[in-house]
Amino acid sequence: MAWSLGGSLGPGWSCVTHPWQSPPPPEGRRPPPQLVLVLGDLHIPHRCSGLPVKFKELLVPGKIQHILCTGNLCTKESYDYLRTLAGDIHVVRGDSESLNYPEEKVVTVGQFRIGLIHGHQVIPWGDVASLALLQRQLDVDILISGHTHRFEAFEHENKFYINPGSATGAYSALETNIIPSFVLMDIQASTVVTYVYQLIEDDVQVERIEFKKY
Amino acid sequence: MYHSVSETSHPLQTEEQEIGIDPLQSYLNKPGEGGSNENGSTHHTSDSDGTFISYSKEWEELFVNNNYLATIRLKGINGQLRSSRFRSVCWKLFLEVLPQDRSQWIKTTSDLRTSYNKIKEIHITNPRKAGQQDLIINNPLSQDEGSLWNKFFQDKELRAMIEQDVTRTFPEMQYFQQENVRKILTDVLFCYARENEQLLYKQGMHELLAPIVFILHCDHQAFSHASEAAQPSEEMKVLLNPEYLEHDAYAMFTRLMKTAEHWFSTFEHDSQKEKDMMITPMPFARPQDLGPSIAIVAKVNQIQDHLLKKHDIELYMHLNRLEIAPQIYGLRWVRLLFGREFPLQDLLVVWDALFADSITLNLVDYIFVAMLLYIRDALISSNYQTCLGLLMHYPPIGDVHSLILRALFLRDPKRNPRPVTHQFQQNLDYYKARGADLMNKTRASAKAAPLNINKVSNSLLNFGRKLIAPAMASGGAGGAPAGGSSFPPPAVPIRSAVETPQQQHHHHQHHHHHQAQQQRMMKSESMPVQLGKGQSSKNISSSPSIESLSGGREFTGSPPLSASKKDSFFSTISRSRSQSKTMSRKESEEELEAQISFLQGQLNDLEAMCKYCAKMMNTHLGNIQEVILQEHLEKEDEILVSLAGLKQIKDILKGSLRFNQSQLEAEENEQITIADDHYCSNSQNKGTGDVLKGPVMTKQQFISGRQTMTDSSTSESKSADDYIMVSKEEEGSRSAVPEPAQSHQAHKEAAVKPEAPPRSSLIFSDPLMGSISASSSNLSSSPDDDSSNNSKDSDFAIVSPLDI
Repeated sequence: MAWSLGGSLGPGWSCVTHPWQSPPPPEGRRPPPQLVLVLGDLHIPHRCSGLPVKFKELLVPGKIQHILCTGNLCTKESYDYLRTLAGDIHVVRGDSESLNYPEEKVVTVGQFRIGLIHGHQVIPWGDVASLALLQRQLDVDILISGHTHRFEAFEHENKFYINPGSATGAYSALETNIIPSFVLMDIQASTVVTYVYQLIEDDVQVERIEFKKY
Repeated sequence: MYHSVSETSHPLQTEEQEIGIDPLQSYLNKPGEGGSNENGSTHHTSDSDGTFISYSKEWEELFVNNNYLATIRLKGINGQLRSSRFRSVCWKLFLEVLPQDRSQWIKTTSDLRTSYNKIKEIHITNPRKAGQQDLIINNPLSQDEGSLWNKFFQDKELRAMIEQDVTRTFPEMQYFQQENVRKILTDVLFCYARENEQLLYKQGMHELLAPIVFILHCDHQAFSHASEAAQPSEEMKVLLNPEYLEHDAYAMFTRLMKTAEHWFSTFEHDSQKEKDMMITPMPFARPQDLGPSIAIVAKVNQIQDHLLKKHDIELYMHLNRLEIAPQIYGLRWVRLLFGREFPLQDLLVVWDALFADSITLNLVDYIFVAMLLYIRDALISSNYQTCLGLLMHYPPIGDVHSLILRALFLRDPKRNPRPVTHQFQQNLDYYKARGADLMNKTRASAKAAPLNINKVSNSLLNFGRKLIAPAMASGGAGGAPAGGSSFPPPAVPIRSAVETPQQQHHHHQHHHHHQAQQQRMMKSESMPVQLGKGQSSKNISSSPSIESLSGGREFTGSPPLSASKKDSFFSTISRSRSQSKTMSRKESEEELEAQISFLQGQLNDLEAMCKYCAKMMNTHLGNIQEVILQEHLEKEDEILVSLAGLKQIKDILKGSLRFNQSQLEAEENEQITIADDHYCSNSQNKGTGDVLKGPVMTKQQFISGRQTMTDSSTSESKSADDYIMVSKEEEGSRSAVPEPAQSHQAHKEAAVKPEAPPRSSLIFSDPLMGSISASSSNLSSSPDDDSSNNSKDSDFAIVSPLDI
């Protein structure tokens, strides 16, 4: 399966022109990794001053192709910072946003259709059935939502649901003891490998989850 | 290695003996194969078998000898591997990828191939494969050294850099645009970079690898083509297996890089401290001596400072004066092994010789010098801009083998034959333009100095004119004034001055001497003028036609390869003299003397050569003519016309026909070049007419010339032919254009002696020349004068309105 960045990408994706991006190998042996960063609910500067230092160390430009943000960045500065990490960034509107973003978005990376929404629209917040409803509406393979500030990644009825939590560990009315977390997806062909980075007591813990689309 | 010359008879002899036996049987797995048996016994001539026979014959010829290594080395140096189908095997032998012992070939090859496979596995990693690794370490964002992902991203950068260069390899060739070829190149370079971490990948390595891949590919193609016909030997099959192109390329490349790697290393030998960098190490340092001392820079400096100085001090001084650091062009020449200077087929021949010579590639230095020497005349007569253009866009060379011979001769004059020295003679406008592009990136301030001289021009010009008028001057010494208006006067008197010695029938040397003396006198006056020449290209020509010429930037056709070298020598002298402002007059005189004697020698050489050429041409042309006439062909006339042209060329060489020098010079040097009537007007056996001096001066002359032509209509054949010789771009050839009808005369033997006198009375009608024209009217044409070498008189196509 040959990857052609121009052809297979849906309308949501702009043409990726990273200097480091290598064209796909002709035999299609190993497609280049498509790394997608998923994070959100930063609440900078209202609830937090910035990303944890250890997270910042990990996030260097040049490795990540796309960024999906569930919203509540709150300021343009955060947005600009994310822009420096990757060229292709998609943000949806949270409930305390200062800038105008769409309510929901559907993007296609590789073979996956990914839906993006903040999550305060889905009532009850974080409910699986409601999310499934939304997934059917958007007709996506992976649904990313936030707002609960709690990391989740599960498979339900053959579809994948991801909640990256809050990357800054910002206060939430629903939860106490928020753990800062974000998600990195490695999309190759019909497999998604999800790496979860969590800052547990000042140490970064990584977990790996795999999801195959049939 | 040169002693193998005597041994070449041996390999050939043994081969002849082998022909009696079926040559294929010893190499076939299946001796009973029908085709080969037939071939062996009956020399069956079916095509497919035939190709295979010649294929295997070539194999034997190259490799089945006692001394095959010496044989193929000799072939490599002589350029005989150009169309060989086993070039890659020869290169493998030269590069010591294959051992000398033939029985080891198969084993060594398979060893190298497996090792490359291993290397590939190690370095071309898939980060997702490692499932067992600790996630903390091996996650995509990890910057841990042990992380495969980290390695992956680092590899990605390196790969991207390599790929950038690979896509730019040989863009003109379709072969290198193919994806699989590019992938091969990238992988090989990447593995090499990973194996040699201290060097990594440097730009230029791709150019070294590309021809290797190319010849491997060619050989594989030849092999598959031949193996369609018959079963090749096991050895051939293993060595030329197309599946292992990448592996073989890697092996050859690494071996080559072992020698070439120190050219790419940027390791500085003397690490300068911060403090030192603030102070310039030496005052008046040359640009090439400043800066960090890297191996390659030291090498090219050494080539220029020692080798070039030894063989051509004038060029060396000239380059130094212009402050052209050798690393500007030399870095690319050496690092790419001249990969960008020659077209691919020529390059492969050069590499044949380089590799065949020795694995240490020390012939590179001498080829470097030989390349410089080839364009030395053009370089010496050029300013900084054109020099840069020439060096960075090396002009195409017709016979690259002569370059190799020259290099061999330079290295070892005792053992190698002295090659015929060719020189590059072309329109330099193209190079001036290229140089201008380059210069915008490099020094922009260099032009300031010469420009100041322009301002001194006018007054000095007038002074110089008076000085020059009664004096003699060489052809190339004409100064180019900054202002266009004043150019005809100095040019013209110089030219007429040239005529005066002619009538005295001076001997060549005497003439030279005079010229040199006058040059000396003229030098100081015309110096500012000549310095100004570099800047004002437009005004430099000595005739309007040439002006328009130099304005155009096209690459004009090559002027006839004639011995116009002495003019270039003179211009060399004059220009180099003038540009060395610091030289005192006395020193220059002594130097001039030395130069003169040197030039005498060269001149005599050239003359001998020309005479010889003329003689040979004569005989051959005579033969051809006889045969043609006997044959009574249909298009006889055209052939005869061409023959007439060839005879004209012969006459030029012999000297009985005047060649239009000024045109050639003007193109070369962007200067006013006064036609050097150095060619004698010896009697021509066939009595062909004298060349009309190119209408160098003014339009009026042209018109007058034309009128003259129409006047003496019967001599049209001659004059027309004369005009044919003038190179086309010149306006003078306008005159040639109306003449072509007349030029199609079959035989130039229609010597029309009486034509000479009327033409001799033609006088150039420039007002300034008026006085001098009187003198030229005294000149008598002597087409039959055998003895006069220097009677360059009547052949001016100058017309005074009085005559018409």
